[in-house]
Amino acid sequence: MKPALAGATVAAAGIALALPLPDGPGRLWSALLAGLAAAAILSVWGLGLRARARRSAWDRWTGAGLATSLGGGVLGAALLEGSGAFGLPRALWALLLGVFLVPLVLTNLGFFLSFEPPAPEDLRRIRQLRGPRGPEAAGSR
Amino acid sequence: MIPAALVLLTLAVGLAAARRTRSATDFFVAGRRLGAFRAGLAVAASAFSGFVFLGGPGLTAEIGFGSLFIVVPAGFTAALIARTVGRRLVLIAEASGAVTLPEAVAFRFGARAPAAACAAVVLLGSVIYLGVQLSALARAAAAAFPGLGISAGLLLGLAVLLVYSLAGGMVASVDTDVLQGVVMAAAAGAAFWWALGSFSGPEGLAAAVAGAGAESARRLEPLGVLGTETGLGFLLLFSVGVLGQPHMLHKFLMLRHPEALRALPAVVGGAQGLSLLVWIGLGAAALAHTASGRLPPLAHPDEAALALLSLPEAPALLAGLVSAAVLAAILSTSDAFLNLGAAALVRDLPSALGRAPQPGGSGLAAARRASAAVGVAALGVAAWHLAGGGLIAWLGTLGFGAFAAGLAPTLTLGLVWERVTGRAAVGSMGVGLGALFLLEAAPGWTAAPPGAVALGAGFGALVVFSLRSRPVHLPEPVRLALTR
Repeated sequence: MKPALAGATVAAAGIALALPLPDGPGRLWSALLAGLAAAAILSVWGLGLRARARRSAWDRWTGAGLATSLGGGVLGAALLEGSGAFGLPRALWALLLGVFLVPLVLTNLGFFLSFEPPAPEDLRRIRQLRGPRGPEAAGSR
Repeated sequence: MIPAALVLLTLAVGLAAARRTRSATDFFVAGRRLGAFRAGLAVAASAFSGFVFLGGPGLTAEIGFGSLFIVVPAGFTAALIARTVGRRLVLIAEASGAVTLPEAVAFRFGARAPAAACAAVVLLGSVIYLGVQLSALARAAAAAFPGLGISAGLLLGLAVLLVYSLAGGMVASVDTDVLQGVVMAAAAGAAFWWALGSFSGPEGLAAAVAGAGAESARRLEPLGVLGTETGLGFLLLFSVGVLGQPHMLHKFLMLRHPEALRALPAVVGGAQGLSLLVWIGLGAAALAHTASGRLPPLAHPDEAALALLSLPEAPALLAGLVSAAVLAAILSTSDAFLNLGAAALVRDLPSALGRAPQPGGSGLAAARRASAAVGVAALGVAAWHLAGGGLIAWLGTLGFGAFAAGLAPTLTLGLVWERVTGRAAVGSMGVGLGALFLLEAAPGWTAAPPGAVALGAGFGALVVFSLRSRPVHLPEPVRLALTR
């Protein structure tokens, strides 16, 4: 599943959950903005491989995991109430775990495992095409 | 004692690097010799600045844990940068020999105007951001060396910065970043441990804050004191806006081989994660100490971190270590901005006007003069900011927002979407920056941070201008660099 699509799904689910809660308009607004923020971030994440053809299984898992964690984290920060572990609010834990800690491990490990360096022949070709006249001339058409 | 030792060590490392700085390529991209570890620590050290070490705890003391929306994106932004922009910048450097971001932009669009606009944004943002660092430096130096005073702290800090930055350029910057990164990580861990223990663990901290009344308890909630638009606007700005921060992106042009990219996000993420402990730990401790009355009312919120460490129960060794880390954080970010601003002045803007960069030794001398000029301009910004009594976090958000709104759309979509043209890139930078300064000048138009709205405006403008432009065919070197 594409990360942005997954983010939008999580956001839509959160909004649906927020609808019947008391203090409706404020909570709905929070959920809507949280979902939009998560979907926007995940869309940018999805841009990373747009131009490249291959996408590894690690990459797909990282994208799906990030979408779930980030979507859940920002919605939790906007919607959860009450106290959690160590007397700290559940909403704070949602933010720390969903937006920071889980993505920290997931994205860095995922990038490490899914990274494919450019093929040596591509790199050779890129270096061969490098002109002597500077960056602007090299990219001019 | 520890801060003085750090300053002396920084000067020694920086001046030693001067002997290895023989050309403008050495000065601006450290000779393009960095591996994943040095580049990663350099990215993390230049990203985490006085904004994090002084502004973070200060802002948390002021608004509560809503401030975390600024800093938690560090969990995924290292991989996000490497994935979307970093890989393409590494290959652009291979394909074009670009040593600055505006040169990379010139290569992508094959035109001078987008490079000139990019250089102007880099110069403007560097002066603002360096002003943030000098403001923080003045406060930190005055606290680390009692009796010095804010004005003398400002001048002394700038003098130290100029001595090693002018001598060693980016080689000195990277070498000192490694030293400063290690000091920051050690101080962060120690400060976090002490902060948690200061109220017998996190339960004690939470109880002290909650026990001071409902208003105080709301500060433990992520959206408690902030409006929803503000909190989530911060999240968006600091998640996506990071893709336009030149002090971080510039390091990707210094990698010796694309393979070094593999481990770089893990190094950056790990170092940033450790430094983040300062924001959370000292921020929570500042909240709890203020709520319980153990910390007297502060003259200025930015004094929170240093005031906490001057309490009798804070170990002297920890106070010294954190003061040194604050100086390290400020110096490591400042030297990056001196370098970026100098490059914009002596390479990018003249190139945009059709003048070739000065070669060899004269190019190096010009770079050093330009660094000094950028430092003096930033001194003016810092003096204005200190006289107004504003929060470091406010000026930091303005600097971050300027880079985000001006550069992130072009460096993200522009490197991915073939349809983006040079004209659209220039238009997007203008709209993004214009929106930012308009919203800053007329507060109250939106509850969201101006930088977040301006970032959205920049992206929107880039898409609209690109769709209205005639599509162009990318030359093979550009296509290869963007797609491999």
